[in-house]
Amino acid sequence: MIFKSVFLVLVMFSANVLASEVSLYDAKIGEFKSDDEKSVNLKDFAGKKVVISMVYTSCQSACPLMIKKLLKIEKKLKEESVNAQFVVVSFDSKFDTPKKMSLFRVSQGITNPNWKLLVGNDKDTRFLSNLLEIRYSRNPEDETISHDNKVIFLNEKGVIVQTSEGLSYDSKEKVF
Amino acid sequence: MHSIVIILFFLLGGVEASSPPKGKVHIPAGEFSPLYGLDVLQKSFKIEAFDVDVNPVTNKDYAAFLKTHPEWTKNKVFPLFVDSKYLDYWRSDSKYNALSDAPITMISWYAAGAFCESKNGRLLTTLEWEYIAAASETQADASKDPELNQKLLDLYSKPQIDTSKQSVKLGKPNFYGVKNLHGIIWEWTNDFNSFFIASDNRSDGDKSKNMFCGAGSIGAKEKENYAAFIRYGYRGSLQARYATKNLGFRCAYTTSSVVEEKKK
Repeated sequence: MIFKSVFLVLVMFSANVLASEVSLYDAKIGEFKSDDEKSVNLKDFAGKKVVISMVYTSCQSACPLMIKKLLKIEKKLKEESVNAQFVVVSFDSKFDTPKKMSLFRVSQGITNPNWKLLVGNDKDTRFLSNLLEIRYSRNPEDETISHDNKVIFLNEKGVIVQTSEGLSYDSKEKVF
Repeated sequence: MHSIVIILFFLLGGVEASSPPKGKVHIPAGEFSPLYGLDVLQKSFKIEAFDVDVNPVTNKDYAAFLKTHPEWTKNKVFPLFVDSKYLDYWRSDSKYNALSDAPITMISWYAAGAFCESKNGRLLTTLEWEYIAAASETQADASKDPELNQKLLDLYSKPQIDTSKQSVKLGKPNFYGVKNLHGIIWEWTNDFNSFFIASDNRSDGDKSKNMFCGAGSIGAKEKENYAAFIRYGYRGSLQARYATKNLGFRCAYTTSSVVEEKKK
């Protein structure tokens, strides 16, 4: 019995190791559009530490708080002298556009021009969300979107190193 | 060249244009009120017409797919697209410990989606799946039929059946002619991880509460439809990489006949 559970732990462990060494960028995700109307391939972020999250612009309460959380993380990383690429992807492939994302950038007080605010098609958005393990669904009645509030940290290779759930961030530990 | 084909197609008559190919059935547009809504006054939602596989995809179907798409074989598949149990009852890329007409299981959302795409199809949306799954053999919407609900609950409470020994050929067609939606396996949907509740929840913990806790389930629209309740809870627990023994899929198609209907 003890042997059996040790074996199980080993199996789980080896599976985790396998997945944790794989780059997200090798998943061949389609291109997204940035808020300055440029095509962005997620692969372009290889070689950088990446902080990525998903929101949508007509979201009233949770999403602005997610941006606040990201801004807080940006400040913390700056204090730690860590250079990271911030990426915000819209859930709302139906209504969000680069133009809307660009207005969202201003309204949310994102002053760092290096942040990428991206919109993709329905298929690629769903695909990316599953790779990041961020759940969402559209309520067909009022077009609002229910979603997880997660920030994902990727290392230079595109491997997920940490996930931060929830709307607040007060971790004292180093991410990268 | 294309236009000649199209003209010929029309000359052959409207019957061909509107009847789906073998193995698929046409699902007419309609309205459906799913289990979860923002409130009790929730309207029903319009569903566009689509075609759907009569049966879940079988081991035989998947073996044929692996021949033409070796990137999905166990040895070559991209590790983030599957977990360690992907196709674990398959001894090779063509041999498996199961009936060839049994539904494929131990399959991830990514693999299921790739299969459907290879057939010019897609996975059903959760709303589409629940729409056709609400049918009994005689009624289009039997979601409030206590008899059907009891039947489903009996199915769900049974110990897990051996899916490898269940041929899809044995299933009875429902109102639409779709078979085996209930009974052998659960099925992936494109937006499987959906939860139809208010999006304004500030705390993360609230999201799934409506599906699992007794007190929280007040948001559910049809409390008598406990079977659908279980399905939403099950789907919400999945991740796209997961392979499990009782989870398979079928494909939907936005077909030319559907496009024709829209034009009219």
